[in-house]
Amino acid sequence: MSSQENTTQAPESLGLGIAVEGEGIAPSDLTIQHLAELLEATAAVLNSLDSDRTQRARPYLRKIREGSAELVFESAELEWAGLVNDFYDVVKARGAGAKAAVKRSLIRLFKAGRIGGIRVSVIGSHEEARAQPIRMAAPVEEREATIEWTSTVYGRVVGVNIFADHSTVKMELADGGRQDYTVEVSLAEKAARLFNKPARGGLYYVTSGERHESTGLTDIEFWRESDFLDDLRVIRRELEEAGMQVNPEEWIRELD
Amino acid sequence: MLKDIGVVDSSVVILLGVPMTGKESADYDRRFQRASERMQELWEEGIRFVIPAPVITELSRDGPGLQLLQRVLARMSGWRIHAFDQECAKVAAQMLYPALRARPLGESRLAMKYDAMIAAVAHQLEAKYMLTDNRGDFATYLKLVSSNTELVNVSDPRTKGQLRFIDTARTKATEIQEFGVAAERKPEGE
Repeated sequence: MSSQENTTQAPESLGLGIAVEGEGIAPSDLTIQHLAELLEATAAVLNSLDSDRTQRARPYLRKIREGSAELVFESAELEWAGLVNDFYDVVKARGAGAKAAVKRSLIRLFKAGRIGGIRVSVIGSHEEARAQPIRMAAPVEEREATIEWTSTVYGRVVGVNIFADHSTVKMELADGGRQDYTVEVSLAEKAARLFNKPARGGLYYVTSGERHESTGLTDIEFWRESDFLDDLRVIRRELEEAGMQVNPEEWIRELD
Repeated sequence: MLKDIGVVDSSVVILLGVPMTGKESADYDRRFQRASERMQELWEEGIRFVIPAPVITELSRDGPGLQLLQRVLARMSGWRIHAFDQECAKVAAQMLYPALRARPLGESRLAMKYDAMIAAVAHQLEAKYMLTDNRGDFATYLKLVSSNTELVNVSDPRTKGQLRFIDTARTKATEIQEFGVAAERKPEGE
């Protein structure tokens, strides 16, 4: 359902055209549900591209071209031209290097074509590079590195829950606040024996792209804070008895 | 709101944990006394000390210095050691990027990295204090991320309160002692 109209847009106002095209597609093939899906998918791409701007463009649907399934959007805001160009460029690059939210919305738009391909055009552009409509290809798949992290939490066990499908341990953190952690049943049992006692927990979580997923506690054990200054006094005495001969003043200077 | 945490750097562990050899400057003993008192006060005020994991690494040293690390490793199970985790890594990167560019060529960049990692833990934990005996670049790093953590040199002389008089008295006593030693030596030099 391709638009055969010439683009005769006023030069001062850029239009963004989104069309469903394909040989033999007739206007009647586009149901109202499909149209709504297309509008939503287009809005999702525009929103994801617009999210970092301080001033946001507010595009509206100017018209649906007769004899086609082309939706033409416009906006009076100054930011609109930049947004249209970004839209065109990110489709042309198949989303390579774009944020995860942009990529997700591009996939949604690509799928919204359903019966045909999505064609994107910048209507009224003076730029030769963007004057030609492009047919959207599937966004490129980029593998995101997965990074695994560990950390340690200190606090007191204040709650243990064992549910049918998962278990949780609630800790009152030494730095303030309370936090629930997902744990294996065996760890929940161990935590229950530490109820209301000071404890140290090993934390494990995974990061992939923008996904930040805490997998909960990997271990928990009784932990009592020692007197740090007393410990340093003992260390100092032990080192003195051992006859350590290192000038601490020089050592501190060497840290620079 | 900042938490009642004092993040301790490597210089404080060395200052308080390594015995003097007798070859240190006269001022070093005063630094040790002031740091001991200041840390004790902070502890009594309810400040809890956190030792960033990179501090343990920075204490690595060959020769006799290795003994300090061995003792620390044996005792640290009761300390709050904070891992240099992902959030800290992001903050340290924010601190290091402009700082490394500004550092003249030839100056150590390794120490900068340790300092940035330690300062990043302090900022990320929202610690009230970053405690050191060697300011280094800590002030710059904390400023680069608009941190509310206060940098405290634990061996600095007091500027107010009763301990200021004690500090002043100690300084005077040392000066008199040094003067006495110099006066005794003078006839030998003549």
